Amino acid sequence: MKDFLTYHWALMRANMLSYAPEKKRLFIMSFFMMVQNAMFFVLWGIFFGSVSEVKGWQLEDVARMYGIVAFSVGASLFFFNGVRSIAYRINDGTLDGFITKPRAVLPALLMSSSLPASIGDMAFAPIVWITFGNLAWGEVPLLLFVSLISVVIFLSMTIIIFSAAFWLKGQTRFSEQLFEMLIISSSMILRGQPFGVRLVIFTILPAGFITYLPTQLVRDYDGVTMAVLLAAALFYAGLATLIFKAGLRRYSHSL
Amino acid sequence: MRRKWELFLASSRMGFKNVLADKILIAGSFLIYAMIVILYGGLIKLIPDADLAVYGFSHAQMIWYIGTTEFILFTSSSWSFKEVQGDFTSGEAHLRILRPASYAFVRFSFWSGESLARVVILFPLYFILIGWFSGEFVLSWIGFLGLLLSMPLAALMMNCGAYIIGASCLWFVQSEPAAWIWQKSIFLLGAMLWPLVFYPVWAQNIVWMLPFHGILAHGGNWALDLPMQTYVFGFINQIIWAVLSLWGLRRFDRLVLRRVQSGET
Repeated sequence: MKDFLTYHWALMRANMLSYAPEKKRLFIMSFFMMVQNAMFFVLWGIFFGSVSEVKGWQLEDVARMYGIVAFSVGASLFFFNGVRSIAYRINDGTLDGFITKPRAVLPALLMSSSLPASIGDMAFAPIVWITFGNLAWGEVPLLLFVSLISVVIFLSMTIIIFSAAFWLKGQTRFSEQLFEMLIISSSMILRGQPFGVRLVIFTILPAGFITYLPTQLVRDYDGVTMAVLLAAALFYAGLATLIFKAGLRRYSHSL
Repeated sequence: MRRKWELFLASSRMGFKNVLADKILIAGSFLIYAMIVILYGGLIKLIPDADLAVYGFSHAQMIWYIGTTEFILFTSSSWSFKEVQGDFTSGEAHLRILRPASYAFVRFSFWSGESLARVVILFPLYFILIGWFSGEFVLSWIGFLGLLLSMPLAALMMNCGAYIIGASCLWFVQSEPAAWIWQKSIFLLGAMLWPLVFYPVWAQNIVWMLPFHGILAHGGNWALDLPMQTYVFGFINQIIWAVLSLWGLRRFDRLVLRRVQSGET
């Protein structure tokens, strides 16, 4: 275990050190990521300027939800941006380099790169929470905790999406499209949506677990919903590991 | 002129075939489109009647509006700027610049063919999906014709913008930040999600002075019952910005050529 942690800590340090010679790039990318997030949030501001409420949800709920999705995407891609390279590595064969190492493939692959712009996403979350989220201090620990659970579910689902390339060879753009769908659906007001939509957002595109339930929990905490959210995190993390392993077996046999 | 036209047709044909060849990609585009329409359409259905009555819109009209603006957006790919960026960073564009045909013109023509293919494939699906989801067809014949005329101009502007943003990597380290801002400007200033009348008056005035209204809002407006002068001004505005976009692309292409020739890239 100690060996495992030391190795992955070293990977993380290497990613951070890679930013040292490119501080200007890091700043520019992060800054513009924040600006684009803010521009999209303004659309919600305009919406709630004309619409009084949507099933009880108002701008402050959207701000909390938007912060959670920004934090989830940002943290996932800052620490584990290698997840987005899975499909490309399967197609160009560079996955072989990870298989031949005497380490677990998935963690090393996930931590093989870091996305500089994702700092902008992570920084945007507290800004939107503080400015528009109307949060009480007592709600902050719960918000941070549910955001961390959201990171786990988002990352797990991203692993599943990019692992599709094990079966759909040459279709890297398709995985990117599914990834876009996950982000779009997670940035959306899901309260009051019809049954068919709820079925999708709590199963194959779990935006309901990534943003809707966490936001609802901060709004009205209840133990059962929290247990459901924790169970969902465990389920999707397990499923992601299983699917990646199955794909890896398929890939190894085809070598 | 004739030679240019033939070059445009040949490149467009290649772009058209390129879209048809990647069936999973086009299926993915439709999936994303359908998901957006169903999610936002579901949200629109939850808006209290009184809030929409202020503007005189029905829920069906609002769903058609967002379905139409999203459809226009989907006629151009969001990653095309990356193709140009990739060509410049890999040096591929330098080889293409040596050819007697303008690289920007060939790219623009290729994307025009791609846009046409997307429209041909996705238009019936768009029509059926929005009609089914909103429960009615709100587009009149004039609205339908207006939309057909608006779409090519909108695609033209988006494709010009994609080239300029992709080639901006010659001045900046990466094109992505510019692409993010361009894309979100189209969303926000093009009134992608909600009609322009939802915006404060000062914001509406700013939007009318920018190209983004012609890219999305004008096309979406055909689904709404707005005063006739809004459509006339919108059309004039769109034509002016389409001409300016083409002019801008031409000027920018010269700058790109000089930048590459100077070896400063």
